[in-house]
Amino acid sequence: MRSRVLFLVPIAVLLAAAGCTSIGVKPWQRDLLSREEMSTRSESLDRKLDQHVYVCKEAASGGSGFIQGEYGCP
Amino acid sequence: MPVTLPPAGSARRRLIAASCALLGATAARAQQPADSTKPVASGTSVSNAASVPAPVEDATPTVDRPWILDSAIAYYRENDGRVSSVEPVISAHHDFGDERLLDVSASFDVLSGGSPNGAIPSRQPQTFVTPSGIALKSPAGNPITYTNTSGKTTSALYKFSPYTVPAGTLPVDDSLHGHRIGLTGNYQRPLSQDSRLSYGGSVVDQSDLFSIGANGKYSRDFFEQNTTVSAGVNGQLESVKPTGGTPLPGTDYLLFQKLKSKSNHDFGALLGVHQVISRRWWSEFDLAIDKQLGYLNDPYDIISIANSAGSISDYVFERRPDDRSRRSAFLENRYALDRGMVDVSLRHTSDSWGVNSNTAEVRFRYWNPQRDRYLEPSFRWYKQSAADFYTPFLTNATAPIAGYASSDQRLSAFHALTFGVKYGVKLDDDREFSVRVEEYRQTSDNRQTPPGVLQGLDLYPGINAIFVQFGWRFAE
Amino acid sequence: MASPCELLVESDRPEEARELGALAAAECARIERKFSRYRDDSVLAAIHAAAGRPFEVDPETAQLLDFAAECHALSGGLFDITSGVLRRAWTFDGSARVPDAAAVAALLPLVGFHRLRWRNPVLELPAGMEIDFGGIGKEYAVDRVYDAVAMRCRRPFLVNFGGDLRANAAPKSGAWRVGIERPGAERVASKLLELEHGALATSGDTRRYLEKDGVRYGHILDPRDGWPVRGAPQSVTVAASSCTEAGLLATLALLQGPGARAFLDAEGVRYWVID
Repeated sequence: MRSRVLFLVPIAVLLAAAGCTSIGVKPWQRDLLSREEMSTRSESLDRKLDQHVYVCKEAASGGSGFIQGEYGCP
Repeated sequence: MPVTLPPAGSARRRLIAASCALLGATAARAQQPADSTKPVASGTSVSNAASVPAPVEDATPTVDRPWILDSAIAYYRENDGRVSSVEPVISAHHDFGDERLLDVSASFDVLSGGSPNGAIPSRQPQTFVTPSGIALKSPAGNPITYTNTSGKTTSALYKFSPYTVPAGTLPVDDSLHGHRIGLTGNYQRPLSQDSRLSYGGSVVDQSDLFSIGANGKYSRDFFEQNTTVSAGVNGQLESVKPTGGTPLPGTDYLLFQKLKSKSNHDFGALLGVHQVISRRWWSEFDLAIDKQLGYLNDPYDIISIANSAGSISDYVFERRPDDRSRRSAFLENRYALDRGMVDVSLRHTSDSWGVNSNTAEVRFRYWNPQRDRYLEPSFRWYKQSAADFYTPFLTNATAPIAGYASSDQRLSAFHALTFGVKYGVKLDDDREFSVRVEEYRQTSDNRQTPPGVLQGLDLYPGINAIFVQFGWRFAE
Repeated sequence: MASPCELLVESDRPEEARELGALAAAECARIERKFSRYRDDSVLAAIHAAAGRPFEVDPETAQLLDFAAECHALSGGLFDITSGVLRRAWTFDGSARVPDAAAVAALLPLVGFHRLRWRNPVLELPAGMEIDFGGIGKEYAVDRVYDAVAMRCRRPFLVNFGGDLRANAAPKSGAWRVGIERPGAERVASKLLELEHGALATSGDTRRYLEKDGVRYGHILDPRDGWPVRGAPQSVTVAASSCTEAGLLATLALLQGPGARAFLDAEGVRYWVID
């Protein structure tokens, strides 16, 4: 139970931080953030292939996003 | 109110003429850049307001790439003749141009090689049958009685394919081979100015398994899109039809009691926050939960029963609970460097089977000054604890077993390291070729020693695998 | 201009970049001073002060008036630089304060390009009426700054005034990467365009609107009745060879309301729409 509460602390911190005006950028300051390596879209294929290995060899894998169901593995 | 406009296209023609007149009249026209290899549409080619402008290049030079295709072929190979696979995969990303996005991907996996069957090495040779087998001895023409996949007891001529494992060797079933086809799709559309909905589905078809899944996610932006909060749900239905039938969990291996196919389903939910912290740095935190119900056993896993002297007397099929709840917390931070980026992520999971895990992953991308080649080393550390009912072997038990037990290495305590490096070459803005190599090493943390003469045998050999991927990305 | 204005030059000499930046800023400031409706030393202030008497305009203002006249004609009266007076009835602040029909109708006699007399170089603007180059001013400024820089610079450069932009040539990396107004869900502008050369202009500010009784009133007003165009997309981005042309097409598209896409398809231009 304690660990569940601890899970929520980072969310609360992030949301509180978001309200501070010093955190975040203006729309015209997104130059670096728009680079391909700063987005997770361009690497999604690599992550998918990694997950195919980890889900089959480990009990508790997955990255960001939903917990993976296991498809059968050898 | 309907408006009568001039015939199609002519509004633009008149507009081009008018803007040429406006812009070209006083300034000298723009010079062609001397070092450009493409002609530049100047758009201003008149010297006074009254004359008709020269024809202007009509096609606009702005380009966007609505289809981005990513293809790869991945080779995976474990040491000692264990599992190896070849997996070609292709994925397509399409931008409709009005904030709607589509992602589709298809993969095809060919698997071969051997997999440990869950039994431990012995001081004697051991004989097993492959999952399609139904008896251990060939009665040379005499029919045998067996329980077939519908639960019915019948007599038939033998059907078996045995394999014998020498003394002191980890039993590995070599008959594993098969293919797996996977398809996933995901569609995203805006719901309002600051929110969007994404939904997707997946299908996996494998010789001994079929699964379909669906998911949906709602995201909302705040503070000029610096903060995005997402919430989603997912579900999956899986039908398990193992080669040779689905074993009755916990029963004696040699009875080969098999059932018809079984299934399981799971439901999950996700809550996530993505926060842009600075011009260079974003952070993401996700919480996810999941519950699985149904037949969750590995149908091929058997557990050795040893007596105190260390001789193996019997084997049983494993037995896992028919429900499992999991929770995970994930934190990722990515920071833009002058020549690339660094990404650090952490993940912690726990579940109702007693498996807790921690993952830490670091990736670092480094471009060359021309930004047409990059190197991306990566490192992953993973550690998990064993499931409550994990046991590498049973001592002095008799089949059928009560309670839960499994000797599946995937539920044992181990840590794993992955070292990887990726090298990419951008041929032009649309096309990229890449090579990725990773080494995965899994080492058991299990300290349990077997009884009697089995001491001294290596029960926990771990996994050593290499992964090589060639990728080709292009855009249409 | 109410938005950040920047000039990007691909150059290995910082002095060159500074000089061109200063040149761009000077030209931009000049246009701002001259055509701002908020300044009392601008040309517009002088025209309005003339209150119906004939007023002789300078050549640059004359060209803008010629251009506005042609746009008024080719748009069937939808594009009208005299529609600024409607501001007195409409304040688009996201509230539900929709003006009543009488207040809007009272302003209509002051709206209509056909009511003024324009014979180059003399303009007669009836008392009480206003003209406002806000609909084309920013794009015109982009093109003017572009011409000024292009005369002095052969390297690839991009002029960007808050999303209205124009480039002369592609940079070494192959293209200028332009994200349209709202980045997508993945924090990469999912409408990430790659502009080699040419212009882009966006019309429609997604935050200026009123909402009452479930009906959304966008801030683009139809000058013939003084009410917002219904069913228009929230924003339209158009690509063309000059920013003025792109901006006009985007504005004309919004004035078509639900017919925006069809209009742009018929005109044969590249465009992106956010509804």
